[in-house]
Amino acid sequence: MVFVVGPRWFYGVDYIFELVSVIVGLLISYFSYKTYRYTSQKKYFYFSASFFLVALAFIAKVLATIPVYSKELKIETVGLVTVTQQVINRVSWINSLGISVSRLVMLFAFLILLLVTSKIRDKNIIFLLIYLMVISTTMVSAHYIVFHVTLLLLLAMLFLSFRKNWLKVKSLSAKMVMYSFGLLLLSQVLFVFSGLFDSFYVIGESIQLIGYLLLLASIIRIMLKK
Amino acid sequence: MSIRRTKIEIIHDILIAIQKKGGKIKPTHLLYKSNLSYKKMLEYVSELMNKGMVGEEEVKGKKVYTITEKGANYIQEYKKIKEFSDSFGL
Repeated sequence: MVFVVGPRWFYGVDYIFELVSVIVGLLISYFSYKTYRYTSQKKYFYFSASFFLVALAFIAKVLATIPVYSKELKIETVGLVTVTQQVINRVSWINSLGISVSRLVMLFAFLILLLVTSKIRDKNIIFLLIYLMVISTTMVSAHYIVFHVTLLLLLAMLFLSFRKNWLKVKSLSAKMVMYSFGLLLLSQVLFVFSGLFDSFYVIGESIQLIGYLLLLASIIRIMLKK
Repeated sequence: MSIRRTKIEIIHDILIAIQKKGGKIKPTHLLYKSNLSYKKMLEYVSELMNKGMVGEEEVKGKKVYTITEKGANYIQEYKKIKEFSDSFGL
């Protein structure tokens, strides 16, 4: 089984979208790690780790889909049934592993982010959440839907947390962070239903890109502050 | 009602207090300026010394705390760190 979603014309275009998310993830991770080095407060370390994992998850997703996209070309140009079959089998294995790693890492990333921003310290709760997350994403047959619904729930809680923070601090950067997570949440809603319509995947990816670009704009705004 | 300072604010207050005194400050002055208990102030200064943001010297036989280049860099970066922290509610 090969995990590829969205219309054929979009193959490869989403790499550019994912690249933006990788840059945003690494930039926020770097800034948070720098703050950790100054303050030694673990929350900045975990925050840095969560965005590093977001970047890592997108890299894993890209690496998992590269063989599938190139396989499409191979079938068209070579056309030998037996050779193509072997290629498909190998590609399928790499793709499944890459996508599973990407999804698990992505969920861990946003779970860590939620634990840090919601200031959840109870180790029993944390253990239980990790257990439920791993079970629900690896031990079910409907991986795709369960992954996106789980991520949707995590993003919904993060959006509420950032909304609460914006109401408290009332700064433009906090507002931008809140809206960016609102867009990421909206993109997940579309991903959940992308199995029904290919266009939902494209719209979802586009909204996700805008969400990460907004996050990038807010971090650049902070970094340029004097 | 007073608002509890965060760690990044306390570090900033300590470093600013040293910088405003020309880069060198007596422990008693720092205690007054930092608005911390003696024990807490020693803890923070010790941590900042370990990080290389604060140094210690003897001037006329008396101990003074000095601000290092790294400490001065923190003051420069403070607004960014504070805004970053506030934006995500950290």
